[in-house]
Amino acid sequence: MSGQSKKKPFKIEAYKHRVEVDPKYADRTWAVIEHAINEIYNHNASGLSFEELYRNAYNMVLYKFGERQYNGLVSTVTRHLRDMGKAIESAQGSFLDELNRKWSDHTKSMQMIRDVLMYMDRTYIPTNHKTPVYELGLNLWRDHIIHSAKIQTRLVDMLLEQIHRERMGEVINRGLMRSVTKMLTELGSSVYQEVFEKSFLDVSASFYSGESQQYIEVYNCSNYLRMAEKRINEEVERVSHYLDSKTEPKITAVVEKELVETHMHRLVHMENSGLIPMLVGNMYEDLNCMYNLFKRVPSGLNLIKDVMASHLKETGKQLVTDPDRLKDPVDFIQRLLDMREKYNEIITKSFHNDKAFQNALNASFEYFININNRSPEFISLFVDDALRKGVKGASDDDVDQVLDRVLVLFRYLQEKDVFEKYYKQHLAKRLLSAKSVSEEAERGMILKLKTECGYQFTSKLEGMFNDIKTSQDTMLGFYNSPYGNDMADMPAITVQILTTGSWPTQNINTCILPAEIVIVCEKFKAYYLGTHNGRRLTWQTNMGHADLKATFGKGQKHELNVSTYQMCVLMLFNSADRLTYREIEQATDIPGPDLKRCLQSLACVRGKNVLRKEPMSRDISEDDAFLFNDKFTSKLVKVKIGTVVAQKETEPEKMETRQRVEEDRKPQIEAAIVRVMKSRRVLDHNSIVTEVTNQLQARFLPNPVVIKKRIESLIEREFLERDKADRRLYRYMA
Amino acid sequence: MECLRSNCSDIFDVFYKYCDIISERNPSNMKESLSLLLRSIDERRRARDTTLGDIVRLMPCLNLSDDSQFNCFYDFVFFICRENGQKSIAVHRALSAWKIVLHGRFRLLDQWCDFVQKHQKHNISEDTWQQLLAFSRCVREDLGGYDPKGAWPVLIDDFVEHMHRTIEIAGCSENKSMCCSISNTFSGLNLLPG
Repeated sequence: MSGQSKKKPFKIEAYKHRVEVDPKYADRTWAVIEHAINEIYNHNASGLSFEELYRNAYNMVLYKFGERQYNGLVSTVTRHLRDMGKAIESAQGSFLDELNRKWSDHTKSMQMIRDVLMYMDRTYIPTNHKTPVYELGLNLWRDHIIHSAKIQTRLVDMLLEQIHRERMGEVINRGLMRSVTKMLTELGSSVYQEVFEKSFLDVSASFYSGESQQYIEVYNCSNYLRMAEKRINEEVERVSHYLDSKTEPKITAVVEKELVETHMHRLVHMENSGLIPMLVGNMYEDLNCMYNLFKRVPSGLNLIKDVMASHLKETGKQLVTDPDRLKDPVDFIQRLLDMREKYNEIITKSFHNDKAFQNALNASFEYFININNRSPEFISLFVDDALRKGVKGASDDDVDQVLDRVLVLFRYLQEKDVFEKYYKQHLAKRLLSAKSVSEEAERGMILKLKTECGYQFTSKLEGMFNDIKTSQDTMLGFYNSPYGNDMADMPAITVQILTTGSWPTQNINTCILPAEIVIVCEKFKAYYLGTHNGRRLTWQTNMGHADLKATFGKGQKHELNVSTYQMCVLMLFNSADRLTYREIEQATDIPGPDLKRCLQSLACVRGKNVLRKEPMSRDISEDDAFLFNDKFTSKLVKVKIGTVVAQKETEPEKMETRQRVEEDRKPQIEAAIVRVMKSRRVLDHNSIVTEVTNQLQARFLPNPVVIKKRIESLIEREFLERDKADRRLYRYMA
Repeated sequence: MECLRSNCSDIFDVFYKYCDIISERNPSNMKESLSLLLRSIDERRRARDTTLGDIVRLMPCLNLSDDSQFNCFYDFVFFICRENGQKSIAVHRALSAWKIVLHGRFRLLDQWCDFVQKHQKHNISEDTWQQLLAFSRCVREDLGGYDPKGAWPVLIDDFVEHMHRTIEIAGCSENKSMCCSISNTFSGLNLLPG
């Protein structure tokens, strides 16, 4: 035919001829193709010639029978699908199997048909905006099979039933499930979503809602959490095996909501197994499980965090306000440390070191540590204990570790200046009695405080160290000087020269020193004032100690390690065997309470009773008399006679320290106000309070009322004035 | 009679001098002139203290319904109540002066005086004195109009807190309440000299 048209392109007959042939040709050719389609659906494709069919289909399009061919295709395929639908509906065995088999038949057939109709696919379909052949096949399948009322409900029910069975622990044919869901996704994600996913999610929601209701009644928190975790993992696994991956976030959201979110409050507060028992019992794994699950739902972590924080505050508050605990400051701080350690561990191990949890932990500690206003004192006492005890085998590293830990608590303190006060007192005692574990450790601690709070905080503490150092040099100088040269038969003396101001202020209670000592003291004084002009020396007799050699009744010799006061008392017995309390008091001039304590430790402690008291009793009264106890025996050559010391501050002492701290704060607050006002010139009251608080909170938390009082005082002293127009504004007066 | 008039014109004289100095608005000069003025008053006062009487006499002669005039007068009262070059005035003096100048101007005057009498041990500073006038103008009888963040002097804060407490106690014991607080304020009055 093409030859003809080439030879005579202008000949009309040829055209006529073709038009004439048209109806017959189309019918005939379509019959061939339709037959082939039928054969393909009947699994009889082997006898067909692809080439011939392709040519026919090609010609159909070429001769403008594309529409005919397309419509024919639609009706033929539809017919086959109707048949298939019937077969599926009446499937005797497995419905899903049958559906799947038919599906694979259909797709295979459609592939072949598409190949045959390829020319139409390429030319006719795009120009006429029709659906491509294969896609058409899918659409027809969707419309006639999937959307058929009888099949769709059954299909969905079957799928859901299978899934339900699997959830109940049965093994199902996952391959089949996978093929069927794949079929649905191939028909378009909207088909998958509308036909299957929606009901899947609904059914899952009601399933898990029921299950969780049931479990929460019988399971404890830990088991429930594990169940929920398992369920979520199962769902994820299910999706990966035979559902569309886009379903994963949806189904997990459903499970999370039903299993976790709905019950989270109940879970957290579950008696005997909720969050608090887990925290108390250090159940790291359960806590981790809870964290991971609750992380999935909105405000889940906040719930854990809040409950943890309030539990912390509660237990912390109990701890710091328990009067029993206050008896032993070291134990008190140790408990706080242990508590922090414990929760730190939990946060690291179970809560992924979550910053929000760390912050909650810190906030809670800050809250309850500052409830007890003795915390600064106790922390200092704890450090004191650590730096003293170090001698007992603990290495520097250990001490350092303890100090690092205690520093964490220190950071929580709002009244760091109170701590400084106590630290100074305790450090003074350690330095003067040379009981410090090592200078290195002491300096280490100071360095830590310095990095924490700045130079100002520690300058006086460092001054104390320097005093001790210089004193050593001074003593060397003294013994090498003419003053100290001829002292062979006199008591040896060690003087520590303390700079006023650097050391905690002590009420000076001078006592009358024994004559032997006074001579040496005078010598030293002469030497010192000779080398340092214009200084003044005052003897702090309440802080020293002395070693005495004593010979007892049977000639046994002991070295007695005593305080300066005790030395003064004992030296009196060189010239007398029996002295009354009043005689001693008169001869030494030691303040009453101190004298009583020192006599008590000399006469009333078993094994160290170098004096004998008349009458025998535990307490010292002012009518007692004391005798030298020549029957004293001890296995040790060196006998250390301690003084009954009140380590913890007594109530009046505490009040005094508090008052001193308050006094010290006043100039600091005023300085801060002036600093702020100098830079701002004009500022309203509340801003001043905020800024001053900010400036000072590294050291302490100033009370707004105190700030206000300081402002009033500054107004009175004409550093500030109120603005004439707006009385809430303050103006800095240069 | 003669003496009285001379006194009266005297206080007039001082008041107008004071007003002149204040209105000059030259801080360094002002301070100096004020202290000079005060010293001269102090000298005259040495024989007999008539300050409070002077104030009473001065009041009817001034147009105190004018706020700015009253302000000036109020500050002036603090000024002449100062003694021996002190910057603040003694509590008893402040109380007497308040009773005279704020009479009928401050609804809580009695309660205030009673409170100050009982709780204030230190002298009254100029700031507290001045702020009380502002306070008296903005506060209502039920303590409304008081803003705890309003930068009031501590004494005023304490006063409000004290009042709240008395009201609370009064609220508890219902009927007795009013009598109680009123009788309290009056007993405060009786203690005052003059």
